Amino acid sequence: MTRLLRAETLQLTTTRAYWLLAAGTTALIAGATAATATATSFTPGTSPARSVLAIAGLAQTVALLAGVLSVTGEFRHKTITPAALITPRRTPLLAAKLITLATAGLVFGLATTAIATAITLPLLAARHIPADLTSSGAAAVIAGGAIATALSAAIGIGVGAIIRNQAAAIIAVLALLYVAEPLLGFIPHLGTAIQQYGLGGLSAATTHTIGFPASAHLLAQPAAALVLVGYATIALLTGAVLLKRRDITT
Amino acid sequence: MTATTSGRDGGPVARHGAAAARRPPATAGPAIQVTGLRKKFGRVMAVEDVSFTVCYGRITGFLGPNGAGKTTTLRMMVGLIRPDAGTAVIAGKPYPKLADPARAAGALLDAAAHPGRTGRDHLRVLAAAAGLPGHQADQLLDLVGLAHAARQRAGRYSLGMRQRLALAAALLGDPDVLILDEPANGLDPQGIRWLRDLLRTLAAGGRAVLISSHLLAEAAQTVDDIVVISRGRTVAQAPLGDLLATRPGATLEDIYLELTVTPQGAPS
Repeated sequence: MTRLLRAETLQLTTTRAYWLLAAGTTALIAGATAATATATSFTPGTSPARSVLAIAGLAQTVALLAGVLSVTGEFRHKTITPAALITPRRTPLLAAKLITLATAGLVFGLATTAIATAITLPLLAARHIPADLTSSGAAAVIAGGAIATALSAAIGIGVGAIIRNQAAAIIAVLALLYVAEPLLGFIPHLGTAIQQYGLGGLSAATTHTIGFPASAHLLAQPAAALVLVGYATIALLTGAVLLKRRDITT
Repeated sequence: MTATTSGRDGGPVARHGAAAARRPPATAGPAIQVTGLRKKFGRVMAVEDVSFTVCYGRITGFLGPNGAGKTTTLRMMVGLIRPDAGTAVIAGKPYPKLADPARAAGALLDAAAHPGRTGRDHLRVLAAAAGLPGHQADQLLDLVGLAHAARQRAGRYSLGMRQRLALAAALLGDPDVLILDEPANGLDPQGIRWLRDLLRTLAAGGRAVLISSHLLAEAAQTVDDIVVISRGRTVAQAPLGDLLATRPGATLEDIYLELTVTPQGAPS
């Protein structure tokens, strides 16, 4: 396993795409939080700081896609063949990816949410808008961001092992996040469940920020994190079984 | 790690060099034993009944028309594809059950590399997974003639260069058994000559080399033994000399075409 972790870490650090993705996302989050904290007027009754920090949730979407890319990239570029030749047991191969990407996601989520918080609070203070976020509240947002990002990467690994076609897997993830969940969220009754148990709602709840719509009743932070753990476990176990069973024909 | 590789040190260049010493095979018995392999993809019978043996110290040519089942057979031999029936053992064991598969057998099946990663990093990733030191990557790049392109991203490699990179990956663990699917693909005449010399040296050092090909003239110059499959079945296995002796005056091509002839009206 040590060998595989070294190989995965090397793979992650020597692929430009991941660095570009991380740098671009960090810049986007920093820019968007700065703009929002500077210019937006806030809905009464919601915490201005939590509203702005919801933007940092983009890190989770990117981590989810990075997880998908790391598995589907092996099939797209056929590097799964030499990898599976050196490590014929495929479950450890997936486990090494999980540990590496989840750790990277944890660091990435921590960094982006911390940066967003560091930008948001002074800007709100400068406009004399009460941020409505205590320092322990801010810590919970940042910790939640780290955990949610790590779990998103884990879900992405599972999804990638289930849907090995890269384009199909990415489209499926984006369609779920940006089309299915927002639309289904408006259906009476079912909508409430989607707002709570959809990835968007769980992300907002785990980071203790504001969901979509802002009036959504979110789960408590620990409960939401646990549901995400459940999703990741289901995706990873299904992915591991399929990876083991399916032929690698490329 | 080093204790298990005694007698094989000196790095890949020294080992595969002109003075490569003969070494006894790791195990007695054949290097590869394929028995009754069979695989259906959906309703398509890819491999129906393939059996053959590959010996240490020899180059075995695995020949057959497109779609005969060569690649499927090779992938079943190394555990990438699960056969519906039959077995394939390498050094006495199914490939996935080998204690250290990268050291027992190396395979070139896809000339694959992530286009955004350099050739050197590609090999370093695989070396790390195999528990080998990173400098092996540099030695192998040298061996396959890619030292000049080591720090170029693989996306800019030509097919021939990707093929050389994949060959380097197959040689990583300095394996006793080499399985190469169309290794001459994309190589220029100099590259083909180089590959032939390399494979000869490896076989002379006691290793078993199995290469699939449909370049018959090239195979005739390179291989010691021949296995021919056609429409998913083994149709011949013999030393090249014996095969040629069955039809005095005939070339390998003549014999091959006769063995793989398709019945009238059947799709080839």
